[in-house]
Amino acid sequence: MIKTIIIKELQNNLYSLRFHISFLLCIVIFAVGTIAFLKNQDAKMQEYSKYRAEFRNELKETAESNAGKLAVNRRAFIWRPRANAFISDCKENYFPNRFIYSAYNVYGFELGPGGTNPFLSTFQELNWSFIVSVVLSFTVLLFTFDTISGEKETGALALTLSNSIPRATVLLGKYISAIITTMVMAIFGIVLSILIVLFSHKVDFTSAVLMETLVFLLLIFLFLSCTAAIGTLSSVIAHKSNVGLLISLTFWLVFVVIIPNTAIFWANKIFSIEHADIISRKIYAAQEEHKKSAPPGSASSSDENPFMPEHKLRADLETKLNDAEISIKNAYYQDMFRQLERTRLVSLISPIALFDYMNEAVVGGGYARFKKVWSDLHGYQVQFLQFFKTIDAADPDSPHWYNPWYDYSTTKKPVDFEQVPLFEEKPLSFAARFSFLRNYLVVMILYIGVVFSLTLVLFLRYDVR
Amino acid sequence: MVWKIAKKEFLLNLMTFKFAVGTIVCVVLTVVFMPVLVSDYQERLKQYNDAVAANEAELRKVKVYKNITPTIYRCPNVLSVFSEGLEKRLGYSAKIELDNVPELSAVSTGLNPYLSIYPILDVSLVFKIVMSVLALLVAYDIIAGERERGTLKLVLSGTVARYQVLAGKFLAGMVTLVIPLTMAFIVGMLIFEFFPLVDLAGSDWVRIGLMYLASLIFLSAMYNVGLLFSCLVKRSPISLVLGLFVWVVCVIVIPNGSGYLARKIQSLEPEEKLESELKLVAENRDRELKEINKKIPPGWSSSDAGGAFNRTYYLILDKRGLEYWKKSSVLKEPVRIKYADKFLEVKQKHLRNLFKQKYLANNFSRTSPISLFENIMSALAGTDLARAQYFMDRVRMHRRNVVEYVRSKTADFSSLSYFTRCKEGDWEEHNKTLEAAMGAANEAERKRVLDAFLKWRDKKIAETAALNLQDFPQFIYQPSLARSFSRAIPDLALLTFVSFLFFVLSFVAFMRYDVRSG
Repeated sequence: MIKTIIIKELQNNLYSLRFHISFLLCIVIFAVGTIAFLKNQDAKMQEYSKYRAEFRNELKETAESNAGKLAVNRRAFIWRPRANAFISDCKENYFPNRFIYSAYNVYGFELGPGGTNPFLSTFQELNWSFIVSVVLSFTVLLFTFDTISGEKETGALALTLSNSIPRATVLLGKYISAIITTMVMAIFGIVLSILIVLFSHKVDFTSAVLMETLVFLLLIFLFLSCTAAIGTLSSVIAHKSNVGLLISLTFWLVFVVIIPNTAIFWANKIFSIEHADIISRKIYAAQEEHKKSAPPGSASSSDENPFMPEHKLRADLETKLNDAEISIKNAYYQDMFRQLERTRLVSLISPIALFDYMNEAVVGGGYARFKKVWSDLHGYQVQFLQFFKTIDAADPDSPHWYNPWYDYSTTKKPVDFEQVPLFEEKPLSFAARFSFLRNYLVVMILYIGVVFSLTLVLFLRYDVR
Repeated sequence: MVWKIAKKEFLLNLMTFKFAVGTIVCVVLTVVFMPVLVSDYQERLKQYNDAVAANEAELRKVKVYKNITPTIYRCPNVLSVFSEGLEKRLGYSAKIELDNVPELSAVSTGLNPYLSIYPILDVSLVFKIVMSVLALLVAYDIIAGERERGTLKLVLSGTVARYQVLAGKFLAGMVTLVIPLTMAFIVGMLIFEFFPLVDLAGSDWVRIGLMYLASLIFLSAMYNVGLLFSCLVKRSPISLVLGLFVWVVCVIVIPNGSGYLARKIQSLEPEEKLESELKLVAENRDRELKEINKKIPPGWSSSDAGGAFNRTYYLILDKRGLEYWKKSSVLKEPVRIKYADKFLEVKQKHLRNLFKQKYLANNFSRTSPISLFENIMSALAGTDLARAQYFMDRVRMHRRNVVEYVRSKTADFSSLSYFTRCKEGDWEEHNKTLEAAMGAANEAERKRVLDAFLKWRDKKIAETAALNLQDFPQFIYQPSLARSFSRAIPDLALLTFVSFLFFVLSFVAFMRYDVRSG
């Protein structure tokens, strides 16, 4: 029986005006978004490879002249433009993507190049994730807001239920058909987008991307189920389809517009953290303290004699200053991460936010990627320092007094560039992605379960007259 | 007759569920966000006042002309509460220096950089999102709905002309929408009153009045979109669906898409290019300065004293030192001033690129009434790009005045007061104390002499009076209402035209409308 209902509903949906309009809109945005992405990806990659080449050259030159400089020079690691950004860009343009490090420490991160035009207002890219979360979520609400209340108005509902069909079956049939209808649009759009990507030959459509696309489709299914459940719920709450529309529209406004727009505001009000100026003052104060208590001669240096005794004092002082900076900064960064994570936690009541976070795991971008690079870079820094210490230990002309700022009292011999460990960003492993995804997935399924059961309960008590 | 229809229609509207929900949402959102936005403004105002006071205090401490490097701060705009625009994204301050011309720059807010992924929040967000939906909801069934109920045929069977019916319905809808809009504005104004430190000037009230007017025109445009669909189709749900699609396109797709497309079409030059060009100019300047240096007989300068604005000046100089610095200032400062303009040129070239992208995005987004409304609001509030540029223009003019002032006061940098306050006799006195310190026999003696020297120094510093800057040029920055308004006019005109166009189209559609139900 449920099959009959679904087929009938599907026919209704597919012939409706709203399907035609939203299908057209969806296809157009998919095409425009993908073409624009491809047009820009080339330029982005060129800029990135230029930067990488310069980075390698600088490293090579330094290595072949002075290993000490190799260790103390601060470098910036910039992450590579993601080839699968047409699925979801995870707002990486607005993310800090430049990481500053040396062999002694990972100093911090900043908003890097290729970043944003400050005069342009913040906007979202027209990628799959955006289209699904904004346009399709709206469309699925349009298909569901009057499923029950609309049929009641036309009197068809009383007729249907006068047969021997359980109410749950009717509801489920309508619910599933709404999901299928929107899934059809999503699949068409995605296939079109993939075709454009394939024919452009600009981006490799690897099997990994194919996998990601498949998982992404699964997520779309879950997300649309969730939104459809909300739409059906508003249809069951209301007795008139107009009211049903108003309720679902309010849901949509709250989830798509109000929660994301106000997140920054909640973050700053509820989970406020210290201002960056205060942090720099703190660092300054702590460093001044160390400088004052340092034994005399700690500031002397000589380029000729590495074994000058003051170099040891200076190395000690610089290490202390460095540690002071890092311990304060790391605490601050932890605060930042916590602030962001809590803000994300609060915004989980919006399925759109939930969907966005899950996308990060699917494409391996955004915050998940950031965290991975951040921790990997710390691991690399330890390895890099170890490497430098090994070289230094082999040099009889070095007193081995490690100074994180200057190369006065460590080896100044050249080193073979081939041996120098290079930091490469490793993509998130599937296990890591899954563990990032898992909690969100559970929340999403729970969300669907709760909303749908509520709808069911209300529908069982619905007055169909 | 028009009035009768309007009145009846208006009363019907008031009874609807959508009207109640829309009004409540508008007022509640205003009540929730307004206090936060105003207190945020108050915080920024406090910071601004502190900074200005500190700057004034430093200016009073200036002892030599070369140390005059005040900072000009941009006063936070109280109307940013209504429309934030670029207010928080551009730099708040500009330093007035001889060798650098300030230009617009982005500001790092010092807040969590991750949070920049979230869009900004202001009161016009409430209007543009909630009120525009409400306008569509009020309008969508105004004709189609009456046809479905069969009342339209009844009305038109009388002596009423169709245009009267449409005009009446338009008026009724607008009056209905005015209520939540006015309530939100009044509530907003009341909340302003709860903050005694926040003061609205007369021109601010005019601006708010104009914003109110702009909001009305915006609402009429959105209402007429709904009206058109209502006149085009036979069934009200279809009209609503069409209206909502247009709304999604206008609110979400166009604003996001135009920024996206503009960025892809008009690509920016990499930041490194700007940096390398600036470096090149700096190298040229340094080379030129070095050349000049060769021409000046070397001089030796002895002691520095800390001056205003974290700069130093020469407390004491010998004859050669005086000569050296005098020549050096006369020859080098004009070069520095010349190169300041060259730096500016490079920076402006880069900025023009950024602006081009922004204008392109703006032009794309002008296809949406929502973006037109945003432009109007930020122009009226004075948080748009043009205002920021105006501020920078004034700062640059002020810098020119300051440079001229210093030049005229120091006779083209040749006066000693440009870099020192010491007189001829000071040097001998200084030397005497110093020699005594050098030739001391034992530690105690040396300490005594050294103390005497330090005392002499401190006395010297204390004796040096600060410069009399009575006639120092004032920074003049008076944003004018007329300029803001004239910037808003093109978009305002376009929005009015769009609104009118949709009304005329609705009129045409309604003239041919088949009123039979069923």
